[in-house]
Amino acid sequence: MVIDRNRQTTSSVMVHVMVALLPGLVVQVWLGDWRTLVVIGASTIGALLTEIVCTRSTRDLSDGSAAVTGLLIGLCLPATTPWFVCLVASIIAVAIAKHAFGGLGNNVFNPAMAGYAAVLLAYPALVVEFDTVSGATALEQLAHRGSTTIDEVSDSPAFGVFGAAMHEWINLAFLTGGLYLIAVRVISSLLPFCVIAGIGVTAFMLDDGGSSTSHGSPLFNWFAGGTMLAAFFIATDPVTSPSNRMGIVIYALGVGVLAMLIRKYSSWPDGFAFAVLLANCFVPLLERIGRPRTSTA
Amino acid sequence: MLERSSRAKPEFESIDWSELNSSTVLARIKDAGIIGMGGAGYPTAAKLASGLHYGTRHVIANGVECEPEVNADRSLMRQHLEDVLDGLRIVGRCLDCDRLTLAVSDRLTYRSFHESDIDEVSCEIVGDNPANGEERILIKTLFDHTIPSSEYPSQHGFVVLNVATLFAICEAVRDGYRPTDRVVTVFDEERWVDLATPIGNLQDAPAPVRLGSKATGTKVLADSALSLTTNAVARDHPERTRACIHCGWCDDVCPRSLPVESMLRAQQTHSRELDVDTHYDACFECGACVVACPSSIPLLDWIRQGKVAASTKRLKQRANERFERRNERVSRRLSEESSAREVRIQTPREW
Repeated sequence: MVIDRNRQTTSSVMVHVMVALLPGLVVQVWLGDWRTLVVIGASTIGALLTEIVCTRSTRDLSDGSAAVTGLLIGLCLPATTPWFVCLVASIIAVAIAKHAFGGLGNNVFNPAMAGYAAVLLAYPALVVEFDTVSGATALEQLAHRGSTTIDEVSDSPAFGVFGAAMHEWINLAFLTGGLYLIAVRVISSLLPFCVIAGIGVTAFMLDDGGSSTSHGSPLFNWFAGGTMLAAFFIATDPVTSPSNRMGIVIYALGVGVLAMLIRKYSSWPDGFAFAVLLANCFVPLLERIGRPRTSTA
Repeated sequence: MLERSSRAKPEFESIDWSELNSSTVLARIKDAGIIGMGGAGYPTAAKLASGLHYGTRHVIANGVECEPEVNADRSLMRQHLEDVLDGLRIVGRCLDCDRLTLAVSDRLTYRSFHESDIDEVSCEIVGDNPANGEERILIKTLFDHTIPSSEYPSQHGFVVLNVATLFAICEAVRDGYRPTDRVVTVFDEERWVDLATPIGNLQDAPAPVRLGSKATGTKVLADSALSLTTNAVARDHPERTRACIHCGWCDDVCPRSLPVESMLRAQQTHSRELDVDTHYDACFECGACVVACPSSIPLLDWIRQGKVAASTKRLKQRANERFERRNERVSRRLSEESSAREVRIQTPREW
């Protein structure tokens, strides 16, 4: 047999992921704040250093998983986050969520989300998205709006053409990157589209046409907050998602539905970190439900 | 053209195979010590005898070489296609079967076959994926006929022989040579190698080696020797292995839809929690999972370990059952004896 030229290795998978993250990163820096670069730099360097300390060698850096973890944390954290908070997030991600559980392949929780959630809870005042142009983001405004209706809120400059201002373009860029990952066959299309379906269906059911409890249309929710980043880059982490079809569908729908419920019913503006971490808990269970059977032929 | 070392005089007399009878040919194949050179090493004379016994409808020359980065059969066919076809004709005559098929995955051979205008053999081209060379899957692909894994293809009227085996048959019957060399892919390069050559003689510096392809070969010591069933010698790269990231690609590519990832985990963690023992025997070691694995994990090594562990477990279980039945038997006999004694003691004697 002639070997497939498209053969992937763990390192090449991670390189594809970094390439796919580029458009989102560029849009985020261009439309937003240059300080995003500082945040991403601090978390990536933090993750790489922690990886070196934990493995006491530089051998495992080449698989790229630490770099991707740091990059994802940097993309999740708002641009105004102080650099030491980024460091704390990446140290928790790599040291506790990954290496304390046995290193690459053995972690139960998504390292990037564990680190991000930890600083979200530890430094709530420092990790608030507050962009210089429009004040609080659309999701922030929805979460803390009191009794105003969706139409009144959506007049604010935080809302864009079809999603949240600026975030709609960032989400579109991450969607493009995600489709690239599907095209080079690093991820399957099943998982991200189930996450998007979970968001869409839940948003549709919760959307009562614009009362003060409504949380916007499916379209708005797809292009607000971190939807596309989470659907294509975070939930698809192979280590912390099920590997059988049935499990993937349940897991991905769960992430979408939970994220949407957290957006609407909690005081957190965006719920992907917690949704992914909660869904991670069920992965060992899902692995057992949908185990493939042997064909006897 | 690959260089072949010159050989001594033929050991046997050549047989005029157009007027042969089956028993002469079978005896010759047996004397020449020909075994399945595709890798399984099943004695060819036994396979043909079974084909005679059940009656053969199709003889298939298996040239669908699909182990990753092995091209031994391909080069053999490019160089000696006519001899391979003669081998196929000899087997067809011997089994009194005129439906002869050559299955290949190599376009070049397929094309040169069709240029050479042969009408008693048909040539089929089969996709180049890791499972297609397995004989049951090949029969399924070519004739849409399913053979359960508990039965031999010969019981269903199919005889599948590797092209290298057919070449050896042709040389043994037509020319009278015992097989003493074969084409082997040695470190990504095809060449004729004499049998029983120590592996160490093929490389400049000692390094870990696998007998067989990179994906499906078994790890061996440097002084183990080449055999008729060795189609490749490849370098082993244990240092490239990384941790399993549970991507599930191995599960996706498995032609038997085995839960490869769960099997690996069960082996690595010695867990008895997952009931995957039954899956090991279903694996026919095509190596598709090894090729797909992004972490370069030698999955087949683990699965082979699992096969051994599963069969040991079955043996233990059987021994245990035997032991328990024996204990039961002994205690029953003891209680029967003691109750008989009781009766004997209590029966009053007549005197």
